Amino acid sequence: MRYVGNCDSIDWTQLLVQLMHNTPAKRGPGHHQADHPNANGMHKQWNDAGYVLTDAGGTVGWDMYLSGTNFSHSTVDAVCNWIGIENISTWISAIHPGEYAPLHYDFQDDETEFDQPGVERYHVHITKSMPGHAFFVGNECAYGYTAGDVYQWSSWRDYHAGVNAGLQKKFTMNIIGKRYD
Amino acid sequence: MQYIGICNTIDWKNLIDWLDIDTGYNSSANLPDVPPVTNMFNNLKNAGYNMNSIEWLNFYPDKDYDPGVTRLFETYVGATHIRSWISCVKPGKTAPWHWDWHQDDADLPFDDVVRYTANISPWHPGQAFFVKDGICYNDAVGSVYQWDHYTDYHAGVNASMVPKFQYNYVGLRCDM
Repeated sequence: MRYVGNCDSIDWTQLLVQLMHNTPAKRGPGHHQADHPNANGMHKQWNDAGYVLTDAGGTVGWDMYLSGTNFSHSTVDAVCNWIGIENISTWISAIHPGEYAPLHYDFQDDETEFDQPGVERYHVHITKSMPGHAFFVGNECAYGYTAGDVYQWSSWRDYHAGVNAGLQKKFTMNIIGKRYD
Repeated sequence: MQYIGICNTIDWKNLIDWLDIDTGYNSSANLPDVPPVTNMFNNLKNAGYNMNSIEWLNFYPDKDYDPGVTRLFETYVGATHIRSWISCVKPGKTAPWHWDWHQDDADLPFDDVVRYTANISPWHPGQAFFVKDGICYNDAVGSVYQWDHYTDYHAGVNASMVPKFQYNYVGLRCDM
């Protein structure tokens, strides 16, 4: 995970307020099937470890905000322009206090589009770091960040996890894009 | 929170291997009914905290493991033992943002009490421990941290696939 810089082309506070007053488009995880061919047994690992989805009274789950539904495409364009990539997929995830996105990778139904040369994965923190909030990518942990801090991952396939033992919702923008030629 | 070093006078792996996780005391389910504690947990509820996530299991010297561990750690940090325990957070559970209230603490010399935390199980991605504005993760087994003050707010999380263990020690400075 590489710190890219602080993206100041967005009013992150305004975006946060917008999200706080918006119903998320859906809940994650997106794939509930334990036998999805691209899951690499991930959900079995979760089950074996004792994780339970929030729907079933557990702690695994996160809100998903989508561009065009919950926030504008222009927000995505501004961030992608700042990074220097063409957007492929962007979403905002939010973990409620006391909930988890356990270690996983973002498997897709069709992964061929993401496995192309020049495809890069980033995340952006929408709020400043708060006690009890942490975001892991591989063996690294993002902490002590400020709103708008951008990190690049080694690969979109990197395993990652989000945790929230704090008192405020934790928002993260996730971006997969292709480097401009 | 200040990093002290690695305490390797204790065989942490052997210690954990001997613990029976099913016999850990569910401290989070037996919280004292006193205002400082109820206020903290009311704050969590008011924040929409998923209360199903709150669980940590405690293990105590004499009852659950060899009290010789206490003496070895006391020697390592050079602080007279008041109390100590091993805590465990399972995957998907949290020790939420809180401070440790204890019924006997009113009689303690507040400024002379010191607190240490040792991360004693091999680190796995998704595990972290917070104290005030600090965090520890990806530490070597036996890594010891001293807190600024033993009543500091703290939290523990575990988004990995295996339980996370840490050793907790409250003592009195020996240089008083």
